[in-house]
Amino acid sequence: MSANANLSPVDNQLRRLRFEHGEMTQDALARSVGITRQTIVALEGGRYAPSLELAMRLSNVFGHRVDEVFYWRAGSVPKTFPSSAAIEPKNIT
Amino acid sequence: MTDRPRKCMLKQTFYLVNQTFMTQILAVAFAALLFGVFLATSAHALPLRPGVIGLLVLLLSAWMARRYWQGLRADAMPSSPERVLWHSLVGYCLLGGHLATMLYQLGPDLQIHSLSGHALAVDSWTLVIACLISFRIARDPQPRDDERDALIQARCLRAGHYCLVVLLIGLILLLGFGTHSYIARCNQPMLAHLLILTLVSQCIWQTSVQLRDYWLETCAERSQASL
Repeated sequence: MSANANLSPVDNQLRRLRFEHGEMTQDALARSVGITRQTIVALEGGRYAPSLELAMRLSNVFGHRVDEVFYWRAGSVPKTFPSSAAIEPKNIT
Repeated sequence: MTDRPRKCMLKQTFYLVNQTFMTQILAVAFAALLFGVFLATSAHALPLRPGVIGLLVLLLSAWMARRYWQGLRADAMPSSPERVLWHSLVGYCLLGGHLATMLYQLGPDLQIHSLSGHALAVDSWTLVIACLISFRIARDPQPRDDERDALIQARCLRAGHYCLVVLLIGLILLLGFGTHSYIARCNQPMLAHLLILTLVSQCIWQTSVQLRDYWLETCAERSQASL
């Protein structure tokens, strides 16, 4: 079994941010956002992608924006739809 | 090879074996099933009713599990849903083992209002009450769960649903086509009990799959910590 088989496509900076914020424990962070310590462990291990609400609550604890804490893992960026600029609006006459 | 890499390799092998075979889950499930079978087969040799013995053992094991979990470090302690699942696995396996053996012993023509029918009912309901009381003992005093637990539960609920469909299809085929099979000779009370057994089997499967999910998480966490 590959080591990356269970990795979520979304990675995060939670571990670094915890240490930068007075070496906050996993349990303290979990309690501050109302989740379990095991979920913090899964998030830090990259095995779980949080819901938008949880991502916002976690980012709020550290005073950062969501996209500063959570980001696409390298090589996991999904194929995007054509950008809106590429779609020409129909001429309505 | 020096001692340290060898220890590391042994540790990794142990985790891999555990991860693959889920030894703890299988051991607990089989122990509870066998205890259920023992209660049903040794009723005449036991000093108390089998249901009462099951109740005492369940209460004792719930109290021991609670003491064991309380003694663990915070990072090794199972989450609240995991505690519930371990307890459910023991309860369902004990009930399933006891019920399946009793039904096998009673045969296809189950008489509800008979001595053996009453014994089955009294013991089964005593075990159900034992499960409810021991749940109160073993559960987390401050239960906490979150969206990840809900996600795991939803995934395993689906697995349980598929298991139930497969079991019911098997039962339907046996009832429809197995004219000379054991199932075809069952009377209505026995068929009702077989359906209860089907539900218990589905619960055992669902609980095992859910515990396996948590188990894989724990294995991943441990191997990450050991790196």
